[in-house]
Amino acid sequence: MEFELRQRGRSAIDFAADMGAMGMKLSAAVGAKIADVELPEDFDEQLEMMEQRLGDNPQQQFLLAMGEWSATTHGEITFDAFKEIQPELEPEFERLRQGGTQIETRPGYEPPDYWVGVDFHRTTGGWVREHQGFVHGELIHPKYVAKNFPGGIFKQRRDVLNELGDRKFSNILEMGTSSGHFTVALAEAFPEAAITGVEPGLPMLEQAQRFGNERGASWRLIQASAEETGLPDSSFDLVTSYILLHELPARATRAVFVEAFRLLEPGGVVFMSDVQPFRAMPRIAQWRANAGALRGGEPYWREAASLDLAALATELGFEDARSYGLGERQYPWVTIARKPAA
Amino acid sequence: MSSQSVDKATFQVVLNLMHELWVVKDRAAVLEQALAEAGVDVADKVDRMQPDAALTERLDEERKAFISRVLAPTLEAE
Repeated sequence: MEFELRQRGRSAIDFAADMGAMGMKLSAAVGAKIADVELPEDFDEQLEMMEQRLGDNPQQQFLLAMGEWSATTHGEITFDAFKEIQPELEPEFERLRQGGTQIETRPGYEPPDYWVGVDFHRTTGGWVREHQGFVHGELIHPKYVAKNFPGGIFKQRRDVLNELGDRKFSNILEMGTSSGHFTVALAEAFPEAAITGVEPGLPMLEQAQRFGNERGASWRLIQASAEETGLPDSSFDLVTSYILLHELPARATRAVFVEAFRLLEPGGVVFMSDVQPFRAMPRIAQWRANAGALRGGEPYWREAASLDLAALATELGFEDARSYGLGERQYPWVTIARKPAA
Repeated sequence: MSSQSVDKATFQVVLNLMHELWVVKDRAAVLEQALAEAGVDVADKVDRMQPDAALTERLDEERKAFISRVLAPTLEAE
């Protein structure tokens, strides 16, 4: 969508993004101080040991203070930037409600209990705040996160699809569509496919709809939970998600794989991309991930990163299940499995 | 360095920044008023102006340098 931020909004977002870069420098300085530390296996003991080791360290205190500032202000800074231009965006919003991509809502829909009232990423109102889809999809992701994200958040969404090889898919379900960035990648990789997206957050789907209609696409977007889509059995040849599972408790992830199995036709593929599991990390990285998740509005990261998704998929009846990390950073971590052919 | 002394240092940084920021805010308001009296409505123009490539590059460099300068004590803290 074409839009121009006002001076205050533009400048404030640029500043917040560069503060992120400064935080990385400080983090590296702290990292140099703890390179020799030997951490225990238990995650809580890791946190306790590092608190003792770094509790009085001024660089760590500054790092925590900067992290707190970023976590608590990035959402408001971007919302303020949005509000400055909201009046001129409204006609665009109306225009992009028209087209082949439409949103279906279901009477009486109740989002999952683990999701209601959670301010993921510590953004006020979580994924249900009005206009959060625009703010996340057009401001936070491209103008704030992407500036400090090695490899590029959009390129990664396109690149993971290379893991699917040459197979062409014709009926794709995306679980946890959010504001539609991965949906765009799916549509680019499989231009002939019918794409359905489910997502509990209506404001997020509204942004996905804009991306769809902007491209002349006909995506079917449904306000629904990934583990209970209400869609028919055996109706997709690919069920996929990108960075959804770490926002789910382990019980929900299990239910998501059960639902994916039900929804796939025989021979269909489940393909999930998410965070690196703890078992693939050195302990210092485990500590960083856990500490970051505790402070960063990620209430389910620990249990999500503790799962073995390939083993879970196999247990639930999938075959040829495998999980691995991509690239030098082993991120994202992908899980691919196939529903047995009939 | 104890955590108490870090808190004091941090508060000093905040006060220094508030002081500098207020001077700039005051100057911007006075500048807008002066230009308005001269018949130039610069406030709206500034609000809507999209920096060209050269200005974007300059702002990027100056912002990074500004952040590094202000927060230099955090990298040097022991």
